[in-house]
Amino acid sequence: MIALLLAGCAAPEGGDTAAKTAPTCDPLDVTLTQEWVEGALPNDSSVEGTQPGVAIGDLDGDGWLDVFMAYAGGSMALRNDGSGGLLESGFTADGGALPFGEAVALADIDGDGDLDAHLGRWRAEDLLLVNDGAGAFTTVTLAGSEGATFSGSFADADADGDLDLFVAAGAVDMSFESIRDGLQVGDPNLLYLRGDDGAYALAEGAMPEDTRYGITFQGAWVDAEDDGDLDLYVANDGGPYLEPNHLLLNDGAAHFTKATACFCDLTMFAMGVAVGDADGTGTPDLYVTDVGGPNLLLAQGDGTYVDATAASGAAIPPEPTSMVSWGTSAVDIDADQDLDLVVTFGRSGSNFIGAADVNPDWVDGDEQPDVILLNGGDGHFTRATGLGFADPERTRSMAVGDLDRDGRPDLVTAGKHFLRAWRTSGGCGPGVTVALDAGPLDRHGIGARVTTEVAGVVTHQWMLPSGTGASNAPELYFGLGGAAAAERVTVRWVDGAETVVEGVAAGSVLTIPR
Amino acid sequence: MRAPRRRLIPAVALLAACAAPDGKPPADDTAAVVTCDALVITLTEEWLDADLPNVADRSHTPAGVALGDIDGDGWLDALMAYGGGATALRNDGTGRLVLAPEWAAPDAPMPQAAAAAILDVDGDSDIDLYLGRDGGFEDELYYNDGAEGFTRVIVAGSTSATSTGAFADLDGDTDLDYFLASTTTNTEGAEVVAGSASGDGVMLFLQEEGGTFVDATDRLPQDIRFGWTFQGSPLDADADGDLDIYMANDFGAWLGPNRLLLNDGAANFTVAEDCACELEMFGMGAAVGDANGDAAPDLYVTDLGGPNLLVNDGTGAFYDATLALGADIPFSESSLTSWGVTFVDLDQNAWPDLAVTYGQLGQPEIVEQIDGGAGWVDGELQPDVLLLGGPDGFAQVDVGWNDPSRTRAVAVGDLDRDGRPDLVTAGKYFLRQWHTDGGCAPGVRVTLEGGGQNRHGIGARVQVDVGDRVVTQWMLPSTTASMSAPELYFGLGGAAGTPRVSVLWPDGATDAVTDVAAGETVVFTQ
Repeated sequence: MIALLLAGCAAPEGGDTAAKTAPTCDPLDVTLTQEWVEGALPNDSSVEGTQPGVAIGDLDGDGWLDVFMAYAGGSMALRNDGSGGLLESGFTADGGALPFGEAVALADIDGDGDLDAHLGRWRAEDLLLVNDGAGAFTTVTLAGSEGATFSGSFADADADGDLDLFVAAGAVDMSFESIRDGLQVGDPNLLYLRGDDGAYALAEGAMPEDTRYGITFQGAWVDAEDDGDLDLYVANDGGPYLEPNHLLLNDGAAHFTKATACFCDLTMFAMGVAVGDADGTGTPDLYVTDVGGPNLLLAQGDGTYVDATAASGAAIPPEPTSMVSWGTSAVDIDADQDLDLVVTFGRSGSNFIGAADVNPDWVDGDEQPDVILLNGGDGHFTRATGLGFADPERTRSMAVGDLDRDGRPDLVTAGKHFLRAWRTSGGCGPGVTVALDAGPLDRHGIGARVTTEVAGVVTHQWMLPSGTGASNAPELYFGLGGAAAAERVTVRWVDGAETVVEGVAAGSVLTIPR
Repeated sequence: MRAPRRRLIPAVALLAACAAPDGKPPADDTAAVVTCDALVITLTEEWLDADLPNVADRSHTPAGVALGDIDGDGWLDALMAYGGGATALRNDGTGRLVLAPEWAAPDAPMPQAAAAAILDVDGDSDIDLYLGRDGGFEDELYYNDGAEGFTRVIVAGSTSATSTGAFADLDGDTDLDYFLASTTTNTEGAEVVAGSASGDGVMLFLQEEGGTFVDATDRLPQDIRFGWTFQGSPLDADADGDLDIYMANDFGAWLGPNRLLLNDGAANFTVAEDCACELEMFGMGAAVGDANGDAAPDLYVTDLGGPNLLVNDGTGAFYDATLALGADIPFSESSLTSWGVTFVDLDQNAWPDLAVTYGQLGQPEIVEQIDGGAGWVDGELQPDVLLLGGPDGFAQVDVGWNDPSRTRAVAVGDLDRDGRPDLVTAGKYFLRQWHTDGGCAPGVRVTLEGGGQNRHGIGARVQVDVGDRVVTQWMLPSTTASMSAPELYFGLGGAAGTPRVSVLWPDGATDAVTDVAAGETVVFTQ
């Protein structure tokens, strides 16, 4: 029996209720609502040379999404006030302050119904933060993770029903000159498998050795071959000198081999990957950020890709105001039933662009506004203008989540040195919010494809919340294009099984169990 | 609400051993030859004034030429637009063109014409012919009826002075429409300079069911129609999935600069305001290709005084990279006036080259008035120019394609099926066939069988992986007054093959084939 939770308008206690009448499409805006800058951020230790991560999720089980910022000065958790505002949480780790970190990913790793965290760190071993359900965490050291973790991402790599962890690593001792000269060796990327005892253990030999030592900003899970397991797309910085991006193909049991003809092993300065269906074909495309302009790779569904950056309007030309892109996410921000792209930008601030000498015309401008590319519904993108979301500062990571439960995905960004919350309004919202429950130890259905059908328009998304040093709320936000309801929502779980829900009203928050 | 998405239609890729029409050895025999030799281009056939039709006064009408396989025998034929009367030429099965004036018009000579195209206009899987006409005459289509021959159809209302007819699906219904670039019928350039004349007006024709074309010129911005437009080049300049039009305008200072017309996807056009491509020049032709390897369509625009290379930044904004990429051709008495132009990888080194026709304008009184004090001399002998592309940009070479007479138009096609793109040029008053030899051949030939009625996949993007690069071309065969064969020729730089050839169809669907050997032909079917 399918236990289906349908809430008319999300409406956790004290929350807004979305309109029940048929919504219309209004001008989109994404507006800054709150910010924390230096002075308001923890300063327990030096933040020099580091970058923050951010994750969204309901950490205290009240139905409202909270925010976790991984920060070198000490991490910070913010509690949702029940209306979308963020407050000091008082959340603790081992009874004290939250430890420092540079990357965070939230997931219910022990199946107890609350969100735990992986805290990636550069100058210490990573931590797992086990939640008691109310924001009191107990830390567990992730043995062997001394490298400079840029991102952690959870998924069931070995198909045993629980969540495993890929750790993308840069290098603790990194110099841009050594990258340029090809001398840099990255700290190894790591795969941890969760055992039956709940412990995370390094999976030695699971990944090809010659793919592990790049400067890896993110490993994105994606079923590239549509064969019922999750592969890994590894986004590597310093590609022209070190390692290109790699697609690691999973045999279904967490044994990975390097794809040799995916046409996706771009040689670039990759900083992040968004997975989404850019062209409406039902296959998971990749948008990869870079120095000099991101790339859009259209998935063929067989593990190969076609670059459509220039043809799709997804190109962002390398200007001093748009040179270095970082965390990115595919989200239907205007709720018009297609996947838009949110792309953070920010000055690198290092000497790398000059030192690398890749292109003498490249200028790492002081002000590089974040960008939203809106999908026209046919896989062609235009750069949104006039939005509040054009932060020119040094943004590094971002996360998506409907903080105010108005049926529209909001954004949180983190950078040097700030945390900012952005409220989305207008568009064709409210849409439908979908969460999944794939079983006792995979409470988020990570990797599943969810499809909505509205008036003949089919939209696909995947439950793949990981970002660069970040994770989105484990929810998917489907715009309905102004319609009152989705006729059908279909979940195709990673192994191919399907669950179908008929008739879901706009504004609903829906948890679909397997 | 938007329209339902288009479906990804499974495509079938056919790999054939280099077409191998009857009488020719399959190109697989040469597949092992992958070294790069010196490029040589040789004149093999020519038809001069006395050889060509003379049913009308040809003095005021420029010439054009189209290449295509009219009879479906695997060999490329030709159609010459000529002031003295248009004519078809049949490929004899060895690569040699033979005049065949009665082929498509057995009952009466073809009329004088200024522009030509060979393609499946009505989407019924056979090849039709198009003649664009000036002098106040309407354009003509010759619809192929198979064994019954051709049926001549007048394009009602197309009375502007056609200089080029460029076919493409402009309104998104898959059938082919066309943009009629027009100069003028009743005025001379001197009158334009004197401020007493303008152009007849560019036009837009949309195809309706049954191959009927309807005048939709009201969908164009009216205030930019009346320049002296030699070519309207389709390209998706702003990467929004539809084909825009770049208008190359002569007498820009008097009649308005070149324009980029942006398509809304339904053939409603507006003038691009921020393209930085509105050159005020003497535009004669605009070739579309990827000059800098970023997979965005760039423009090379011919002119009096020297062409310009406009590089697209991927959003529909261009910057001038003529000097930066070595694509400048300094003006001199022997290289003042450039006309038809095309991107083509003639030496098959996997970098696009530029074939730029030159020829005396023949109106010294105009040149004296418009040179702005530059000292222009419209020399009697102005050889055609070949710019070879490479990793460092372009460089001018003389490899035999240096006809000094008054060339006006150029078309590309592998006439002898040796795996190398050949050239055909037309001018005052001649047609010439050029054979390409040497280079890094063989490469890979790509043809498309597009979905719906767009049987040539016009507008599609094709990419070939060569080493660590991806080489991009578009199926956009229109050139000034002319049309290249609807085939794409990719050089592989001497490699034995390519790991992949991919196509991005006009509707956004993609397909790819892997491990294609040099010398093979890839046919994508949507």
